[in-house]
Amino acid sequence: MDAADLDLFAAATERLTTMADPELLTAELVDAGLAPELAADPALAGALLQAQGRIVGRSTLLDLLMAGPDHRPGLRVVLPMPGSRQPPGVRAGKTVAVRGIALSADGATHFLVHSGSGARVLLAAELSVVPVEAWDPELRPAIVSGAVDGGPAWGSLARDWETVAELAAVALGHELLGLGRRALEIAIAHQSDRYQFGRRLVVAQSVRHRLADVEVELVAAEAVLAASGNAGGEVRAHTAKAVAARAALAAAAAAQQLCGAMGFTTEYGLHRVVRRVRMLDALGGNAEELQLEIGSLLAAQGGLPAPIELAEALEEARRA
Amino acid sequence: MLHDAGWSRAGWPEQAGGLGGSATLRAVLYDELAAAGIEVPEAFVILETLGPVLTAYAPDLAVRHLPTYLAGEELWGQGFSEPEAGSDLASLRTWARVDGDSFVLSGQKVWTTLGQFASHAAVLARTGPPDSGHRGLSMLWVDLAAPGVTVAPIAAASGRDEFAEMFFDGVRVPRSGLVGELDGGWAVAMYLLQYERGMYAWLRQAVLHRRLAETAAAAADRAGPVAHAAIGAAYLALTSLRARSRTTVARLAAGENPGPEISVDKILLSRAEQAVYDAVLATRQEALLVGDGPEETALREEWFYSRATSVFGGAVEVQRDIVADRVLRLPRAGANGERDGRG
Ligand SMILES: Cc1cc2nc3c(=O)[nH]c(=O)nc-3n(C[C@H](O)[C@H](O)[C@H](O)COP(=O)(O)OP(=O)(O)OC[C@H]3O[C@@H](n4cnc5c(N)ncnc54)[C@H](O)[C@@H]3O)c2cc1C
Repeated sequence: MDAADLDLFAAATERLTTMADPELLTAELVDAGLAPELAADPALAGALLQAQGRIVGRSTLLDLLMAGPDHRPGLRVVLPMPGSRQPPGVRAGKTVAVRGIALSADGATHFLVHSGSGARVLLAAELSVVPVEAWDPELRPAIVSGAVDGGPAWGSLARDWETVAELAAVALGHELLGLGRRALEIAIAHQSDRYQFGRRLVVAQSVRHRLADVEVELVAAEAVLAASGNAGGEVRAHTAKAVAARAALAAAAAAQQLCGAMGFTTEYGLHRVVRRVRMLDALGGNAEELQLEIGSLLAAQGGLPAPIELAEALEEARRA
Repeated sequence: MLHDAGWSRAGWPEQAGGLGGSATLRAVLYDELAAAGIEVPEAFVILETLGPVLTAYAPDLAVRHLPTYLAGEELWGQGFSEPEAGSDLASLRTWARVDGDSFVLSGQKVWTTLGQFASHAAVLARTGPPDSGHRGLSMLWVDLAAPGVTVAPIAAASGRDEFAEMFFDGVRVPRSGLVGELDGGWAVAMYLLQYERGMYAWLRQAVLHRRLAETAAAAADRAGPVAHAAIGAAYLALTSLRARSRTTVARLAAGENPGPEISVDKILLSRAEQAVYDAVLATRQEALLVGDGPEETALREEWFYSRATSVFGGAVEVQRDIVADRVLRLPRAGANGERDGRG
């Protein structure tokens, strides 16, 4: 898929993820037969998620990516509680016990629950599903818990939790990058329009440098994500998410400061970006936790994994 | 050894003693050397900044000097900075006047990396009037053995003589020593800075990967969570640098001009350098703080050098100005009486 195609898809995503129904985007993708392409071409999923982040939209795209061929309308993937990286399910014999959160839980009929040993689809009706407002109500999160006996409602998954979690980390990284871009745009717009001391605020070097630093982090996140494809191992996936999350956090913090009191109002809407950034950062391990985890892992391994390839970048430059 | 095996000559033009091929081959070489645990010789750092300038702007000089450099028989210096011209490079005062078929060069340069060992230097000098700013500068290729040249090493914080000052007193430089056009030195300097901020960053990330791998190995049995967090932070910074730098190297190799965007690479390099050596220090405090062996001394020197990365080649603050002005294109102080926030 080339850059022009990706732009088209991103534009469609912007439209579809602002609508009330979170399944519109995934339904269109599945109807258009793009599900296999989504799995095969990480740049496509990345572009869509970045677009979704940029408009602070929501969809069940993450569920589609994580569920892969077992995706169906009404299915949501249960994610670990914020602060946890353990699979949300525990299997004991035929029983699966679950405690985790699902996003866009409104309209969920089934939940996909990963445990340490595989995954199972469970009926929503057989679980406790408690919608919460809390930190980011627009995501329509719900706490999903309960214990269910018996066989799966449909297909049991071959993919293990680690692989799915790595894929989710990269996906969340893309969305965070989009959110970071949005925060930077908001900060630049406010600083450029607002006059104090008889001049635009943005002409002050301290402001310009803070914005430049955010840009540098976002560019780095973009480069790391582009090189991460479909994860490629725990360290690489966590690195992609951590770099993107940090960039988004820096962008959100800069925007909160640089928009002054206006940024603190409900009406201005910046809080939506801040909420989403913090929420996505927390899912599957936040940037700080991942950074420590990566360091401990490298120390335990006594070395670094194979670095990002130079070759693909050269190929791309040759094509361009 | 690298030269005889042909390795160091890959990616340089054949007319200039190289084996041909694009700059990509050099990028691959640095990566392979570091991965194999072979230290990338310091001379390559200078080669990466001055080599491309000679091949692009002074092919005759490249034919004469690149082969001897690649054979390890010459070392070059970069003569840009002056005591009164640092970040504001265009205010430099070393000047050269045309006299017959040569230039006569006078003035002082400072902070020339390894200048005390250099045989030649690329010197940015004023050939226009004193107030000509960046428009009146020319790049000259100066034989440091010529009469009127004095070079003195400067002891650096790292504990080594990292750099030198160079004095020019009526030094005659033949017309053939002009690199680029007369009064066209700024373009040459900017071209050079692309490589200093681009290829150099790639070369360094290769070295930094090696250092961080060694640090992770050293951390395996004796480091606590603070060191682990520092290693994690360094890994994130280093991966950011590598991911970005590989696209820049690809663009340079394809003959593209990344322009102001390369300031991003320079900032990422500064961060990665400092994060990696902070991880080294966090993991090996005893070695760096109370170890006098050769390995400890070298690491200590490198730690100090990492602090200079955010200063040389244009301080990070200047890079941030460039990103703000020319990448983000933030509005500048306008005509309607607004004051500029800078300076
Ligand atoms: C190890 C090392 C090797 C070097 N090698 C060479 C070499 O081979 N050849 C050569 O020509 N030069 C070399 N340099 C010099 C280097 O290019 C200069 O140090 C650099 O351009 C900055 O100039 P300055 O040191 O005079 O700092 P100044 O210009 O005096 O600035 C001092 C500090 O002020 C801040 N600052 C400066 N400008 C701004 C601004 N616009 N906005 C906000 N803050 C600002 C920065 O923090 C900067 O570090 C080397 C320097 C070092 C440390």
